Amino acid sequence: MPVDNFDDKIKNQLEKREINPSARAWDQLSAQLEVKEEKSTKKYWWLGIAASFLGGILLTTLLTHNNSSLVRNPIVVKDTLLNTQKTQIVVKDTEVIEDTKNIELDTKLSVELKSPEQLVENVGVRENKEVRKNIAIAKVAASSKDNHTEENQELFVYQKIDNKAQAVVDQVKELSVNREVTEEEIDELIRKAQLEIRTQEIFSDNKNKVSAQALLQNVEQELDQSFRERIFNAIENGFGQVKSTITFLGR
Amino acid sequence: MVRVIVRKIDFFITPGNLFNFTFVYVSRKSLVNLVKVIQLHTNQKRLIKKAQKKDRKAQQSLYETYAPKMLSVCRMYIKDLQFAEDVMLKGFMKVFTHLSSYKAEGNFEGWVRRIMVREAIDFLRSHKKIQFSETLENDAVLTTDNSFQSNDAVEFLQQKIDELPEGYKAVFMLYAVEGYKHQEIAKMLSITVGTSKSQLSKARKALQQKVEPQRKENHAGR
Repeated sequence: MPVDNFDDKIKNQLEKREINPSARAWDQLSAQLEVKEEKSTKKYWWLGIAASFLGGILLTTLLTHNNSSLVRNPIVVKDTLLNTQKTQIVVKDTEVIEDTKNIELDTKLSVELKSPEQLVENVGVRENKEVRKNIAIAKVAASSKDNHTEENQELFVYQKIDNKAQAVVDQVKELSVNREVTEEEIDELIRKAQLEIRTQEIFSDNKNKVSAQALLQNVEQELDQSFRERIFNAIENGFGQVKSTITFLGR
Repeated sequence: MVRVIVRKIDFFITPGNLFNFTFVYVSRKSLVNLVKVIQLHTNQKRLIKKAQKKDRKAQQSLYETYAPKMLSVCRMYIKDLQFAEDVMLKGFMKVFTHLSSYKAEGNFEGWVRRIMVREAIDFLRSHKKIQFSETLENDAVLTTDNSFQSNDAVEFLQQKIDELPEGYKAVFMLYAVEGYKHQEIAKMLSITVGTSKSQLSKARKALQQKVEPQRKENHAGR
């Protein structure tokens, strides 16, 4: 018998056959399928929990990262304007105009307070023979009786700054009676007044401890030398070097 | 569910050209058969879709349709009917859990059958029943046992196939019945193509020796 013919005959005979499985076969299979489906459902349930947990961690990380980036943003301190508090409340802004000769002075002093209440003082002396004195005072009255001491401290600090500003204005007035006062002199006076206030703040009389924030501001201000000062320093150094060289050559 | 086995569809097609229209004449009987086939195919598609969604009734319906045939396939490879049934159930388990990967374009029965064959081969491999010997170790297997004079030709054939060594049987079944190529068989059974060819040749020869005397006896009896 040819090979293909033999194979085909066997194939055809076997293909026709059907064998009925036992009666319990389907029940067995059905039970197995149920177990399998239960397992897969449980697996997906756990997957869901794991996914939501990971999502929560991711969200928390993102939020934390955003907050830290906000904190990391450097606080820019320009000239003599010091503003380190997160919120600044300006409640009142009054202008006092006084006559003076060719004086321009615009300084803002902002004082950091430990309570949310703030006190901001602006002292301004402007050109065209007039002095503008801007005083911005922010006072938020404490509602509770327990805040009496803090209120007193604020008033004390405010008085101190007010006195100092008045002293600066008086000094400028005195100088302007005899001669013309230059801008440099006024700047110098203001800077000295600021330094004194800050030093007092650092060595707080009441608490007898050093304020880290104030120290930092002080150092930052020292680093932030004006362009004019740097030029003067450079010329001075250069002149010193030239002088020493000439002296050395003269010998 | 109604099972319809269409052995032959009689088409009498006569194309005629009248007024530039082509008429196709189909006999009434063949048209009825054709409609039945289409209905069966549509029902099967619907059942598969339901079974994919883990509809237990649809799964049962598919099982009842294909289980007798698939048990026969498993029995071709596995001598013990109980083991063959276990393998078939394992195969159906795979069918239903992987039904989502079945593409509706292919022949569903063919897809199920391939799964069953692989399961049967895995069973034989796991029980270390497949041995690819170059010579028949036991000459007794070649002796034709004519004591079992079954009227059912298929049963007789199955008995003779069962007498073959597992290696011979597996290669012969895969090649002659399932239609796999030698390369595919070699890959499935982890043997060389040469071994597959030699095993097939020997299996065929052995089976012919077993079957032919019975055939001759049957012919003589008639």
